[in-house]
Amino acid sequence: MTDQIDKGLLCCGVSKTFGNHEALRDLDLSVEKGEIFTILGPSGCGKTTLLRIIAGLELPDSGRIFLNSKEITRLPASGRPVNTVFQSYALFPHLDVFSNVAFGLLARKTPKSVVEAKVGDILSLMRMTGLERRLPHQLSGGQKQRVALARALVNEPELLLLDEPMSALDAHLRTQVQDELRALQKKLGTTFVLVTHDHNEAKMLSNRLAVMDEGRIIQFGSTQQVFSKPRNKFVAEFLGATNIIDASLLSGNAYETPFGTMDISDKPSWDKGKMLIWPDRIQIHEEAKADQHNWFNGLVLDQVFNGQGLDVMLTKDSGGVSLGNPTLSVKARTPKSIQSGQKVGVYFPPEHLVPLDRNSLSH
Amino acid sequence: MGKKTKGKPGPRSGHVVWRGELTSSLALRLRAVGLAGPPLLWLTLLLAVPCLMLGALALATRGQYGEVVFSFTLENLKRLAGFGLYGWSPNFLYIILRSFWVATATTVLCVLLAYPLTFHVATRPGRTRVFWLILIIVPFWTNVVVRAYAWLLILGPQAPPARLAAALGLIRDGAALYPGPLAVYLGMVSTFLPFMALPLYASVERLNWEILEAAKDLYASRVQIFMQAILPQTRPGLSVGVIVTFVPSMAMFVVTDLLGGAKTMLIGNLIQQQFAQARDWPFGAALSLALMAMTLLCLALLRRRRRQRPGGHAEGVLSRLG
Amino acid sequence: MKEKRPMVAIVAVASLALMYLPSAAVALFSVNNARYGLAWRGFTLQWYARLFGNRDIIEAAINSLVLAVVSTLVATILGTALAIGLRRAPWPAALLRVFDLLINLPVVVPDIIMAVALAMAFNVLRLLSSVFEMGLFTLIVGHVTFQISFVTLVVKSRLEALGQDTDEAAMDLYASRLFHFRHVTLPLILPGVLAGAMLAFTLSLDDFIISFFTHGPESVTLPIYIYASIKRGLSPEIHALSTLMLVLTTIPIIIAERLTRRF
Repeated sequence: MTDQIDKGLLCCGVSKTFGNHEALRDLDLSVEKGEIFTILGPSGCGKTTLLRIIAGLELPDSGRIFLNSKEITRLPASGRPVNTVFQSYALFPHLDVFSNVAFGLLARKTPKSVVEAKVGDILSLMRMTGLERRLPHQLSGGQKQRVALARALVNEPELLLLDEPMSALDAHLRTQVQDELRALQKKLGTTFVLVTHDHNEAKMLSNRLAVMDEGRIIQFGSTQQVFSKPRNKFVAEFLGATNIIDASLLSGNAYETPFGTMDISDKPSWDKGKMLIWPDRIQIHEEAKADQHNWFNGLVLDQVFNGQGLDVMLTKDSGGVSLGNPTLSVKARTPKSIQSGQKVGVYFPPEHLVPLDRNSLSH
Repeated sequence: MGKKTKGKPGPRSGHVVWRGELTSSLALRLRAVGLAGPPLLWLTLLLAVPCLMLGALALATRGQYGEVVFSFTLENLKRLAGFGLYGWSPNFLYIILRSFWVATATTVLCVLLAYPLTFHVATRPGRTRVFWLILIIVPFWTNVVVRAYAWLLILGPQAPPARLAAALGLIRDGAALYPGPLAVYLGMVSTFLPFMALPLYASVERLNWEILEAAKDLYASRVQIFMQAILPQTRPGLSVGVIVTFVPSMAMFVVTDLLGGAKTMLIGNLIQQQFAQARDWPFGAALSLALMAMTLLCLALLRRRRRQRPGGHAEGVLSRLG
Repeated sequence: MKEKRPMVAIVAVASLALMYLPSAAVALFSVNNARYGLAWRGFTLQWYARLFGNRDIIEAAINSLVLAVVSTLVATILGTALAIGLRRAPWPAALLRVFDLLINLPVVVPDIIMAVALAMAFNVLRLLSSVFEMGLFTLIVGHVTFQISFVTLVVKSRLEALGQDTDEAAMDLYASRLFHFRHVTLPLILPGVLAGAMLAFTLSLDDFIISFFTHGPESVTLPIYIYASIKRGLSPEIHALSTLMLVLTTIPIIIAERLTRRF
């Protein structure tokens, strides 16, 4: 167990109830030292409550929290080596950029010369030099976010918490800020824990993540692992999956689906349930191999060029009327042109069919 | 995860995090009482309790030398209703009715002047508008005694208005235009017009002019435009204005004292008399209670009206006009 | 409706005239070189000069100023503490409603009733201690009683406009309670506190009715002096005094306006 406490951040059996609402239910979480970890979940799933408990802005009803082997459960927010980038940024409206960033250092009675040096360094790292005397209301959204980051990082925290850091930014700024955030974390080596409801953000930023719902962690693992094999329909849909297919066992590894008989490598625990295939895993060919498992004849309903390849919408071609058939979305990397109304052969590789557990909270 | 780190309660009992600060709920309560306690005690002892004492005092009687004798009678309330030593006389009831009437007339006059005034200010361009607004704010703070005094000057015997009136044969030569209703209403309206105009302006400024244009396009008459488009939209400001005009003008005593005579006596003057001259505190307390009851009645009536008709729904207005 | 409306403009100007005519008349007569009568006899500042020779007026002015300054100081401290104590602590909602009612009393209750109630309270308190004999002290206590509410209402609205996340950010950034108050809470509410103080100061200078009921023979304020003079008859010194008072009450209001419009 001691090796567990040695984690960067460890939450053990954390519970929190607000009135009748159970925000967190006996939640366990461990984050490695020096990684970017994402807590992903829909609004109201308890992810912000968890973040606030780690920051010391909320007390858990029960449970313990360890940071780099030291217990911080009973420390006040002002006594924790943890800093937060708030969703609203929460900049002090009456203080300029310099004073906002210097706040944490001055609150700990750091000598003036040290404060000036450190604030100067972090502001130049954030490319904010020259804006020291601006007040928050004179800054753009992106600049405000950089001030909030600088204000937290200048204190050299052991853990940085980010609450929906991209939510107040314009779409075109997000990619840029995501890259900057990754680069910054690599440079400083600080543990980052961020909370978001946006699966793209999680995919872009973090190495590992946890998906939360109704106060519990539903799935936990490396980003690649979670995205390629979502545990159940909730996680799959939350990660943006659309191709979720009904399946029932025929024999051995073969399952009956609306798109014909499919072999699956990862044999599910159920006889009747749902499986998932990601759009970029579906193969489109000129013609289907007749009467082979995992192949069927498809009819292209629509196609859009997305920059790298084609986003294709297709359905099973059942001869005459195909209207009632379920549709699939496919990311085709082939440069070959595909027309709407064209007939194609579609192949589901057995190793890319992901069986989904039933949505249930009992692990 | 293992058992070693599990199952223990998190924080110490009685601890809370309040606005980011870890503290005990007892300390938080002590801090709240320490800050709010003294001013609350002040307000209770010097405001709430004396107001309640007024009620008790109204049931007492005046002793021989002006002292208060706690006899617990309804004598004062009977006197108020007109049953005095010398039989029934409606004098006090007249004064109460007159207070209502003067307050109503003052309020109506202020509304009639405030609408054009606030419309004019609201339609001024940018900087000019701020200047006009300040012009309304400044008289808000003119001392009521100074203003009444100024009207004495203006309406005095040798001043142009009095001379004009004398030349027209309305008053006798060398007389002043006070005391009398004209002087009282001039004093009242000039005192309370800023009270009406400022809250009304807040509503007029936010007026949706497109609705007025739409109303005009629908060939609504001016009265219709006012009743259906302007009134509902400015109702919040208007009701605040009516409250802050009507309530204090009912209790007014400076203006009527300086500019009016016995015939314009209001309940405020009567209260002042009981406390300052007649030294009949119990009766003064009864009069104060009557005034307070009138005030609360008006507030309750206005609040009910406000709740019944929440004005300012653009769609509703347009559909009613169409 | 934006087109020209002559009637609207005429009534607007007439309304302004109605509000300014009295002040203008007083100001005009205060520089008229005539002891009696209202005919224009040339410009003079002698009435202003005479003000400063009139001991009663100087004394009333000092009383008014001391009253306004002391009561404003006390009311600003108490009113601010009340606003912070109510909005920055977890009071039960029912209790908060009662407190809000108490704070709104001076706004709703007619001045004359407050004055009468205060006079009565002092008459009872006089039995306990002689400091409650009508005088400057009772004036100050009376003024503080209605000023507290106005300060509290202004500061409260300022506090309500501030979210709790700046408080949390300060704590997250290692601030002690003192550091937090000194560098976050205080500077953020200061404009509200100053505006409330200016309002309280003007209310005190402007007040007649409550002073009238709670003053003693030795503690005459300017409005009471003017009122008493009117009862004796008009005089040019009073014109000058009234004009000065008009100017004096206008200044803090314009300052308060500026303060509330910051941020």
